[in-house]
Amino acid sequence: MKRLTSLAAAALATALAWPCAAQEKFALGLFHFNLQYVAGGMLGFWALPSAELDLESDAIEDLIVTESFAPVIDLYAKHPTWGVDIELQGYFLDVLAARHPQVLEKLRTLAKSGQIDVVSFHYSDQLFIGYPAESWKRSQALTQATFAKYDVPLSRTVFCQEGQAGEGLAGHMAELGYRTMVWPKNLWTYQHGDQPAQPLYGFGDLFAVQGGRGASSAEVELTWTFLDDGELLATGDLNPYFPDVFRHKPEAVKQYEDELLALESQGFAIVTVDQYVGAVKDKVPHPPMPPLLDGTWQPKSTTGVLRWLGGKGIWPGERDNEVRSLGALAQRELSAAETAAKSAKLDARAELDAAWRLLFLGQVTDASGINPFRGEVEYGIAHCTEALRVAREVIRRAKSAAGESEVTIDPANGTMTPGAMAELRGTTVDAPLELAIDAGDREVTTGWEEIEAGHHRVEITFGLGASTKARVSFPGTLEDELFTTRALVDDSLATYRRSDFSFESFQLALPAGLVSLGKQRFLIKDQARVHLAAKITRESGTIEILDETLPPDETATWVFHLFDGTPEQALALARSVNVTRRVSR
Amino acid sequence: MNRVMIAVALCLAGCHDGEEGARSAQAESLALDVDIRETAEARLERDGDSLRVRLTLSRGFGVAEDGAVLTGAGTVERFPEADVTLFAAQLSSPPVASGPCGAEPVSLALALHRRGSARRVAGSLTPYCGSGVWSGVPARNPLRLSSSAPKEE
Repeated sequence: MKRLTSLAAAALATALAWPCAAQEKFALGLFHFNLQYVAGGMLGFWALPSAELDLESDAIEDLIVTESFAPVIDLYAKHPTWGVDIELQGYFLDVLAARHPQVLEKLRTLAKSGQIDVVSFHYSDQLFIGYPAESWKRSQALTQATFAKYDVPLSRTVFCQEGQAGEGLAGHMAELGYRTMVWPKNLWTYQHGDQPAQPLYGFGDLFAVQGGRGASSAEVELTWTFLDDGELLATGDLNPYFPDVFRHKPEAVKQYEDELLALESQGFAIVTVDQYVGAVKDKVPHPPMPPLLDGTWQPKSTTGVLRWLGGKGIWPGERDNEVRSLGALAQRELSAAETAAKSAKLDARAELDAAWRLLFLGQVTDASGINPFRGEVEYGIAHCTEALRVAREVIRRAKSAAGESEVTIDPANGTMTPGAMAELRGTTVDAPLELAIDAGDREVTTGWEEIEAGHHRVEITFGLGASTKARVSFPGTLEDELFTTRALVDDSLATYRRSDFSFESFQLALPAGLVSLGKQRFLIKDQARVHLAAKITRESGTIEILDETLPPDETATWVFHLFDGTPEQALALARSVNVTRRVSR
Repeated sequence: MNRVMIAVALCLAGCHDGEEGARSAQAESLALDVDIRETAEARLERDGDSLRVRLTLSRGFGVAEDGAVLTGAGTVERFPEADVTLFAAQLSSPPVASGPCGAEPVSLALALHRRGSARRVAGSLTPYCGSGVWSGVPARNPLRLSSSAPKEE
């Protein structure tokens, strides 16, 4: 959400609706900073080399700190009675410590005083709603450790890269000591329409607010002064893709400062989200949130999560499926390496931790969206490939320690046993259902196998061609109930009713690969072969998979499983395919 | 967004094709782009699952000398369930005083993945400070390697 242009007028209008004496007034601001804004730096962004524009990663990160981050910190240092939320990835603190210790010191001081709530839920700005939870768990643990290492208090509030949000976060938040979810207003209204917001909601046993959306009741008036990329405020809405002009503009900060001063003069307390929740939670009701599907903060302009999982941006060189399926493969291999090392009693903790770090850096959102250029795409690929290498090296050492040349590793059971297992393949059969496939000038072949009764595998190959678009529709039966899994919760089903939502269609990331095609039929994508968004609709049971980023003149092969059975059986299969894949090595 | 349009136009006009690699059963030469702007020539020689690599870098990015020729051994790793092959090798560079490792030698981990029988490979050359160091926090971001176009058979 862009900063409101007429905050004072909006706040005044809302205030007139309730008797002033009965209301407490709060103004919230949440600055989302992303040090991986241009993941990997600007080298190669422009077709022609330019010393001024071809900045490497460290230089871009430094600009983000000096031109956009430090001025915001300084603004709040100037106004000790103001509170604010600053969201950043854990990696941000590592960079501050290494290259900007004075800025880190300021941040620490204001965080300890309670003036700045430093919000962080992940070490890397990764697409965590698109992968099994393990990568995020490791990322979260490193974030916690990084905050502790630099003695920066970690906020109890959660807001995430690209506004990623999901109901499944609630359980983890409760376990980890978080208290309030900032759910992006657009991700809410996209699913339920434009209804007035409540000042506070229940989120499991925790709280939630609609990020960026004001609310008013007899007791409370809430307005938002900022919820956007933090990089934009102090630079006059310029971003780091324009490094030659991405500079601190004091007049832009002054304008925002004046707006806050005006609000303050109207009686608004300029506070952190946590302070706000603490002040109002016993004064206002906190109704439960309606059912909400996982997503990102601007679903209208990004077509939900599609933009990161198949949707094209404005630059050539995007290859979403390669980036995301490689991330999935590396994650599986790391899970296998964890199991192998443990089984062989091999101390590989340091290597594995380092490889997980590379993985979640590689799973960064910007490698496949919103408008990734080739450098960002290859940032994701490079990090994931190195994580894959380290994982395989650990497995090789584990095999050696166990005295085996060939093993089967089963992360679900935590075992590594001698000998190879059969691949998850079957016998060739006729298609059990007819797929609608459109891939332009590419020749398409489909091969169906039956692995066991009710369990089919289909391989869809797109031949060489110029078309960058391929679409596959799996016909389903329209049922109100829809089964899938939630982000960060791979071990239980999520059931939604289409009729609870107002959207016509919605894109799901399928973090465990699973979505229903009917009451007893399920589609499971093999994420290491195809990791694209699944489009569901309110009025049809069909699931559509779309890739608009097929590289010209390269082939592609997608693999799905089609399963007939109970939802519980389908979940177990999806987990075995994508979460705890058994592999022979 | 004038700059966007300019960039698109420049890219359409200026994106270059690299050399095609020549492949055989045992040896393969690859023309690679390194962090888009630079290039590398890679020679992969396979003996079963063992690998010998010779990598010539146009620029060393502070973790090798510009024009360095790096050699090392590695393995060919297969992921049959994903139809992926990984070429992994361990290369080394003497210290580069002006680089992030200073007086320390640099261990450079090569990792290139390939889907099925595609010509294209992509991956990384990841530098770690010290001799024989093959994991940890890299000395800098992994160098991004990918096949120069054309990429398919």
